[in-house]
Amino acid sequence: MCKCRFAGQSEWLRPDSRGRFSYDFMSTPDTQIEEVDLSGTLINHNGLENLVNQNKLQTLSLPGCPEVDDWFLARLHVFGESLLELDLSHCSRITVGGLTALQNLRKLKRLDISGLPQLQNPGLVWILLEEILPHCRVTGAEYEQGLIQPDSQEQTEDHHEASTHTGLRHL
Amino acid sequence: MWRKLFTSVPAFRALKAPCRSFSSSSRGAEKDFFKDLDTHLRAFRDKAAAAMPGSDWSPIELTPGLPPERADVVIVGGGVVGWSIAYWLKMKARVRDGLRVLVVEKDPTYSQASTVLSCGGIRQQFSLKENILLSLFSAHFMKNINNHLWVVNEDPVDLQFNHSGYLFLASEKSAHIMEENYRTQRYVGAKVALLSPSQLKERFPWMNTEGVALASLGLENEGWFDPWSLLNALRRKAVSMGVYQCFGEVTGFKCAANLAETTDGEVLNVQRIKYVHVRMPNSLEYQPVECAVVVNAAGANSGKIASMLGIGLGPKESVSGVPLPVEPRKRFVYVVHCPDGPGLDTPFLIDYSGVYCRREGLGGNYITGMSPEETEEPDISNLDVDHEFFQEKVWHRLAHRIPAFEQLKVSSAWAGFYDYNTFDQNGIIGLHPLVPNMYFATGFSGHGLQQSPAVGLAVAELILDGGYKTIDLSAFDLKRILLQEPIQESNIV
Repeated sequence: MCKCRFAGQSEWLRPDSRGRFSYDFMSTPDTQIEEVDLSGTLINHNGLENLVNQNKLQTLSLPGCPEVDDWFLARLHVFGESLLELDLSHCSRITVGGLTALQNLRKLKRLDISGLPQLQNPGLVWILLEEILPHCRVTGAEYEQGLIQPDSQEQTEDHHEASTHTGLRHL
Repeated sequence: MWRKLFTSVPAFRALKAPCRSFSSSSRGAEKDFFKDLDTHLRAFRDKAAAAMPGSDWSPIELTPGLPPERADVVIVGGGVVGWSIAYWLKMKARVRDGLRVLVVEKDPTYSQASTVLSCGGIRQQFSLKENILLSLFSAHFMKNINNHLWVVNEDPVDLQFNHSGYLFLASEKSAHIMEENYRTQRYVGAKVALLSPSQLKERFPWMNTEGVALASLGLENEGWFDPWSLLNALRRKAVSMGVYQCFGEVTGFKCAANLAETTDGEVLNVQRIKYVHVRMPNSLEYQPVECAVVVNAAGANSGKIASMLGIGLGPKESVSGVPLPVEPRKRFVYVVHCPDGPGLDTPFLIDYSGVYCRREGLGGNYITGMSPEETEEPDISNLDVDHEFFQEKVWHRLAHRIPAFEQLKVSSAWAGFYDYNTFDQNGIIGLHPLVPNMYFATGFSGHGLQQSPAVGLAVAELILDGGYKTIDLSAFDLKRILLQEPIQESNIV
C-alpha cells in the first residue's frame, strides 16, 4: 500500500478503506513530496517517471518490491542532492551491479539492504558501500554474512582472522 | 526360406560391427539361434523399421551440420552483430518461416571472436549523435532484455550489468571538446554530468587529479556487462524463432555479373550474389547456399569477405579499387589485482593519456589496457599477449592517475581483435554499389558490442523496409568511404 508525505506536513497521504485518496493536496499544487512509501507495490524503472520531478525527496521506502531492479537504482541519481534514506530490503532483483549506482546519492544517511537474496557476500557489500557513501549508515548486512564459517572447534582468538582470510579466498 | 531369413540377420549385425567377418558370425548365429531367436527377431524388426521412411537412419550419408541449400538472408559472422541482425529480421518478419535466415560462423568455440573477448562496456559519451542514439537504444534493449529475449521454459537472461558509469578525464587542451560533447549528449538524451577537478577529488578520493581540467561521468545506462550472456541470449532466441545456424567458413561467392556505366563513362562490373559457398570445418566439402541477400557481419574478417567479391582489387582510380577499410587490430586487456585499490565506486575510467581501467568483481581485481599508437600496432597473426606493453606503457600512466596501483600484480591477460575501420573508426552500414545485395554491418572499431542491438534493428529495417525507421544511420553509409568523406568522433582519447 503506497503513501506519501508532503513537505511542511506531518501527516501521510494514504488511501482510505475504500482505496481512494483525498484531494486536499490539489489546493497547494507546488508543494514537493518529501517521503514516499511504496512497500510491496509493483513499481519498476518505468514507474519512476512519475517521481523524477520531486527534487526534494528525502525518504524512499521500497521494502518487498519485486520489480525494483538494478536499472531502477540507476535511475535514482536524480535524487542525488536530496535523498537521505533509502530502504531496499527484500527486493529480490537487486544485485551488486545495481548497488554501485547508489554512489550518486551523495547525501544518503541511511540505507537498508537486508534480505537481498542475490548478494553472495552481504558482509563484503556492506563494507564496500560504507566506503563509498561517506555519511551513510548501512543496515541489514552483518560482517559474518557471506564468510565461510569455520567449524566449532576453531573458536579461538584467531577465529576472527581465519574467517576474514577464508572470506577473501571465497571471492 | 527360414534359413535365408536367419542367415541375413548377421548381415544386419555386421552393419553395426563391420569388422566382424561374415562366416564366423553366421556360424555363431546357427549355433545358438534357438537361444537368441528372440533377440535376432527383434533386431531384424528394428532394422526394418529404421529402413522405412520417417526414421533417422538413411543409407545415404549426409555430412552433419551442412547449411540448407537455399536461404533468403545469409549472415556471414556469428558474433553479437550477426545474431542481433538475425533476431531482428525474424522479429520484423512476424510470420513463422516467412523469412529463412542463416547465420554462418567459422569458429564454434568463438576463440578469436571479438564479441567474447571484449571488456563489455557500454557508454553514451560519444560526440556523434548517431553513436549516442545507438548506444541509448541498446541500453534500453538491455533494460528490458527479458521482454525481448526470453524463451519459454528457459532461464531468464542475466547480463550481470554493473551500473558504474564511465568517467572520462580531459586535460586543458581538450576540455572544450568535452564540453561540446556534453551538450550533444544531453540534447540527445544521455544522462551525463560534468565534474570539476575539486568535485572529482571529493567524489573519488583515490584519484590523483593532476592535469585534469574537466571530467564527464555517466549517471545512467552506462557500465559494463557480460558479452557472452548477450550473445547467447540473442542466439537462443533467434534459434527458437527459426534461424538456421551453421558452423562453416565462407570461402567464396558465385555471382551474376552485369555491366553498368557510370555518368563519367566508366564501365563497372556489378555483381549480384547468387550462391554463398560455405565450407565445412576441417574438410574440403562446401555447400553452395542459394540466397537473395547477404549480410557481411564478419567483424575483423569483413575485409577478407569483401575482397572475395573483388572489392578493392580493381584499378586504383575506379570504384572497385577502393577496398573495405576494415582490418583486424589487436588490443590487449590485462587483469590486475590490487588489494588497496578503489572500491565499489570505480567507474570505467578513461584517462586522456589513453589508458582505461575498470573494476572486475568485488575482490580487488581490475581490468586495464590502452590503445597503442598508430605506428606501434601489434602483430595480428595471432592473439599472443605482449606483457612488455603493460610494463612500459600502461602501468606508469595508470599509477599516475590512481596512486594505489603502484602496488599491483598482473594476474592474467588476453588479447582480442577490433574490427578497426581505418578510415574513420565508425561503423559501416549499408550497400556497396558494386554488390547490390550485400549489406555491410562492420567496422565498429571496438564499439560493436555496445551498439549491436540497435545496429541489428537498423540493418533489419534496411533489408525489410528499405530504409531506416528507428534510428537514422545514413551518416554511417558505406558511400562515405567511396566519396572520401569521413565522419570522425571527436573524442578526447
